[in-house]
Amino acid sequence: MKPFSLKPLVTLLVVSAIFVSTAAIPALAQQDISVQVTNAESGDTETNLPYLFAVYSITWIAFFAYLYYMSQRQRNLRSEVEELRQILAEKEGKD
Amino acid sequence: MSIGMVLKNGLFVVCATMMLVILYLIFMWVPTDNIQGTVQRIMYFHVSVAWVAFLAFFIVLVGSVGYLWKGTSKWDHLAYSAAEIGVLLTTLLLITGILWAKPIWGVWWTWEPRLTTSLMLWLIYVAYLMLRAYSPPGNQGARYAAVLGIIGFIDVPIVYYSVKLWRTVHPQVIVGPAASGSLDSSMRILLFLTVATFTVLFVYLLIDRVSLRKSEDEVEWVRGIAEQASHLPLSLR
Amino acid sequence: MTKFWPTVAALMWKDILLELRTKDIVISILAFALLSLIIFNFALGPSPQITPVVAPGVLWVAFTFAGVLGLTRAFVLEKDQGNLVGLLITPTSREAIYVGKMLGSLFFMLMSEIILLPAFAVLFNISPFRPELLLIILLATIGFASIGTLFSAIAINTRSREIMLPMLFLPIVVPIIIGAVMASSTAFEGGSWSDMTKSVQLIAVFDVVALVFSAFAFEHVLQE
Repeated sequence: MKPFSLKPLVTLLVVSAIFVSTAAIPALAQQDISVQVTNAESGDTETNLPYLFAVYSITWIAFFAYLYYMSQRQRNLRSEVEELRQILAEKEGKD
Repeated sequence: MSIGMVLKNGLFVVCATMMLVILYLIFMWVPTDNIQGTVQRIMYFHVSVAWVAFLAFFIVLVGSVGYLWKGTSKWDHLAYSAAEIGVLLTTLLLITGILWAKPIWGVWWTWEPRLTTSLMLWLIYVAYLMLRAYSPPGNQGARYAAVLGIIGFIDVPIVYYSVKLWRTVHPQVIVGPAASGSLDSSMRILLFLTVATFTVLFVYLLIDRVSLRKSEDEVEWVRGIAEQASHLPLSLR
Repeated sequence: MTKFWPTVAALMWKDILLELRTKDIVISILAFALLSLIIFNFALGPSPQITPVVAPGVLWVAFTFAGVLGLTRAFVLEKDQGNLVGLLITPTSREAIYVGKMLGSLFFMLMSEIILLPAFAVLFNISPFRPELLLIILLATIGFASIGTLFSAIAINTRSREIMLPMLFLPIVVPIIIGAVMASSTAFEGGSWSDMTKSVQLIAVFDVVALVFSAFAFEHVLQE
């Protein structure tokens, strides 16, 4: 008797689940009626500049920090390669 | 210089140029929002970082599926690198969001759907990085992370549609399939430009990180061989 | 390949038998959840205005964290005693192992939750014994069990399993918790089915995706 193979059934379920869920989410989205408006305080347009400054500087710092982090790892890698090269040279010296 | 290096340096130059251009446009050209004032200019960075974070996590999904399917490590390198940059981007998203919320809503944070699901998104991919760190050595870690990388992506559409699914104070979606908010045309153009700039930056960082990871992998492999050859565990660094 | 459902039943029965002897899982779930309910109730004060507002949230916090405790134990025996290797050697399909473990965890979580409901009723002065609420609990727990079994199998092989499982599990199931709290809130107010369709749909869709994905991904997790 041929053993019951689950794979095609599971594949079918996966495909239909993905279809259902991607179709369901926009369908669910249609049901909501609320469109909230932000209640912003206007007033003097210059008062909130510190926040603007903070956003842009933090963004820049974050990316520069990441680039620095990557170059650090690169440097460590290079020194590790050097050490490995030395060890292999020593080995060859002994043999 | 190899053709790869030329392309990479070229990409960097393009990215830097675009960044300078959009900075000029954001601060000198685009009109001020009359409801929120100058602080509204945060939007360009906040929304762009969001979109590129979604892209990053999509690439994690692609890399994870590729790794589980094909098994070659290049897919894993792609997934991990994209996850790392994605966490960086999502951290920036949360921080810029918080800094924008305080002047506009009066609070640093509120437990409304968009913010909550975005925080969860951050946690999911932080967990991804933790999982890689805490896994046993070998392929297991990569496989576990790939599983998380696939199911974790389910939060991205949830975050995107959260403003439609639930009552929310967060502004409505402006671009994409759920778009309903309105935006001045010059602001819209600048927003697309900023998204493009950040995407270029992301691609540059991704290429860098993937090649770094690949090199680290290779050195690890060489070290394994060297250890075998000398019959001693090597204590480097 | 041995047949699917007999394998599943056998695995479930093994887990239930073990549990009947040690009562490990159910006691930890119950103790923790009961403590949470009591402490929350105590901390939030006896005010009759606040209690109905926070009750659904507290209920689901208790269920979620207790569920994590129960899930942590799901694979402990398998891993520490080496059962897993034994299971993998037998000609069972990986999906059967997954479904068996998942139904076992589901059973324990549901049992504990049902036992907790009277305590909740007493502490919060709300009757949770409505069909709507019971269905919400069932659906949400299915979601917890399906994704939790997968993550438990992953976490058990990592260095700090007690931290990894909540770290993996909780952010992913937040949509279930949100849906469950909103639907429970409506149920407590006496709302009908139509009022909570959106939340129930959210949980149901999530359940389907979680179940299918976890069944599929489980074999990748089991490989050594």
